[in-house]
Amino acid sequence: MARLLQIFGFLSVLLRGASLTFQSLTVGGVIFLALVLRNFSDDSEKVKATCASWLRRFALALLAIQISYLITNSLILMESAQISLAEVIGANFVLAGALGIAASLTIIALSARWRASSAGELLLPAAAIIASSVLTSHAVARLEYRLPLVFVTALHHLATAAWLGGLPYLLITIRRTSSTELARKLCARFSQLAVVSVVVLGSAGLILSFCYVGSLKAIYGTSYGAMVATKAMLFGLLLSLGALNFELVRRGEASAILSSLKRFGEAEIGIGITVILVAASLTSLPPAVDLLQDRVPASEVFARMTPRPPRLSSPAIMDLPEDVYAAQKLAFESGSLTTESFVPGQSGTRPNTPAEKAWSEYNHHWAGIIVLAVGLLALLAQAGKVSWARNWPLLFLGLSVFLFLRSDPEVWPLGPNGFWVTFADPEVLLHRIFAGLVIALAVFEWRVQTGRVASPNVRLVFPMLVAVAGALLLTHSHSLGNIKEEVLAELSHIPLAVLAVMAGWSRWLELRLPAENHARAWLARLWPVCVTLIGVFLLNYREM
Amino acid sequence: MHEAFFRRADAIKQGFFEGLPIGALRAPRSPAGVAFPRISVSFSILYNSLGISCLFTCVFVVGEEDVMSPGHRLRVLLLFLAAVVSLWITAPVLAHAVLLESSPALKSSVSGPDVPLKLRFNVRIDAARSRLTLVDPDGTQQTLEIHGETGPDTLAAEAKGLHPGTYRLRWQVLASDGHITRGEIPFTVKS
Repeated sequence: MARLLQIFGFLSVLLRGASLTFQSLTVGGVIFLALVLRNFSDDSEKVKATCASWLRRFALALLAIQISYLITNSLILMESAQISLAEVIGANFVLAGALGIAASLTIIALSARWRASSAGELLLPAAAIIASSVLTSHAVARLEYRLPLVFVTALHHLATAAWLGGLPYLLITIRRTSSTELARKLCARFSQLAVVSVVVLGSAGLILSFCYVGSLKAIYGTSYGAMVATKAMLFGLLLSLGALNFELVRRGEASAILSSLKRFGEAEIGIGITVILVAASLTSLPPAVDLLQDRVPASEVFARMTPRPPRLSSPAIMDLPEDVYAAQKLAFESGSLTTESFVPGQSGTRPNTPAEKAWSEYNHHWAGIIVLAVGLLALLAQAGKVSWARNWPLLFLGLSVFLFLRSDPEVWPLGPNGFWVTFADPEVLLHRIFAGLVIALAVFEWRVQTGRVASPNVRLVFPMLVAVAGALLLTHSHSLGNIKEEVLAELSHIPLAVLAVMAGWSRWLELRLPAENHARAWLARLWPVCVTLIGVFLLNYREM
Repeated sequence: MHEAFFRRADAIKQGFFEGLPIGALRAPRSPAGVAFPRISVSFSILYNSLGISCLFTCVFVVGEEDVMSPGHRLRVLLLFLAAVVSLWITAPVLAHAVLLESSPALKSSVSGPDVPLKLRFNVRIDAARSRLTLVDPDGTQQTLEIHGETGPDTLAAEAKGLHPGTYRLRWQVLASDGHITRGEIPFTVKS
């Protein structure tokens, strides 16, 4: 139970993210079957059966996630508030969970014995899934405009499901069908659904932003506002990809466009999941309108972001706190960390000393130099003029050694604590394992870049890693209230994360799009530019 | 070296098995990192990203196969487990319900011996499943009875017979949307 308590905060966000994702995929599948595959000829039955089969799988995953969430939240509540199971059962989240579980089970049962008439029957449980999700959203806990907010949130979730949740089914049907004409018709019909969904999604998003963020100042002054802005940015990215798809469907030849469409669809799904993860993170943050104190003013944001020369000299290791564990524990016990709200099992953090901040800035700036060099060399390599530039992944070896030496200054080889401490502290151990993984990744990608790896699928590991790292960086929104430093840190993360998402998916598309697609040429330039910009942002990273 | 090893191991064990807040033991050092202010966060995220990217990659790569062979299934399962395990290792701090105001206020002084307590939050609270606990100057704890007739965002109670000294009011609330949040308000009772 203690371990569960410790990871509860992250686990709840993770479960929320997974729940929103599978909810979109399940409800999206129902909408796809009911609206996009509606009234098609008999030869589409095989395609419908495949979609029903995937729908069942996603509903099963949703069921598992909902049961996990229900059990976890109930256990934590029982343990932390010392109340009985009978008392927990009447809680709102239990009722919402039970509704979601019943609806998922109904969809599993109906899709298992699929027949054409089932599509309509699935709509009611799909609506119940949306209702269960809305019952655990911000809207239901608001003090004002509760009902309108519940309605708008439901529309927001529904439109997300119809668009992003329906996309995988479109890709599945395109791959499964032997008729290009049928595929083209499906694409055209889904495009119409997507356009309507985007309009609803954008409108509902605007209303929710207005209610939860409230002002322009809150966009940059609070973590919630900044994350909403990021979500809007990624939404714009999705719209660009959607527009490319839309044009392909409208103007291209059916036989020529399908493979491009599939690849754009993959990137859309990936970025869509990123947006859903950001949304899950947002549900765990207090809305910006509720946080009126200690917002970061524009002048402080400008002061922090104004370019300055990088810090290329490190503070002495003697200047760092000798025992960070003791310092943190002392700060907690003295009560100086108890002014915030926390999830059970967690507490606040001790403010870093100036020496720690300088140490961090030095590390970020050297990491920035390495990443900048990686980006520039990758750009040269893509231009095809300088053959040795293809060896750019080897620069990550330097990064690995640098991180190994500097990540845990209190531990061997730099610090007074010996080598064996590495194994006593899971965090230090993780850092060491990660340093090894960076080496593995460097060698792996170097083999890809120099043509030593032929498998097309294996080459996707690097872009996937970059894109997922960006998504997780966005997901980790760790500001509790209006701690200015946390908000400023958040603001410095966001461009890095968005650039990483862009770099990952543009490289993915470069590798996946068919040779005749002209977009490959500029995508091949785009990802090195994004990596270069990540290096530039790292070079201007500040903590004070 | 051995002393440091055991001190750290003890601290970690204490955190794991006695349920101490994780932040009390996992210090936010801020040395190296690729893109983050604190290395603990940055490495955890990057490590997790490796796990999840394995998961996503396998979904896409294996998804190309029409029928999954047993070998493929095993690979997917292993990668999925690796991703889940990697995710279990990190624990960033998040919260939802925020305390907007309280009486007594944070670190304030009040007159005893009977002290009315009132906490107002930014969201609707499930008062029946929320808790208020008072920690006395000597460390003993008592659960306070929450009054029923308050607003949807408010918890109220009364602490009686308090002697002069420093107290801590620990609160835990269940918001209507299912989020559990807690905090603490230290205050002093004057003679």
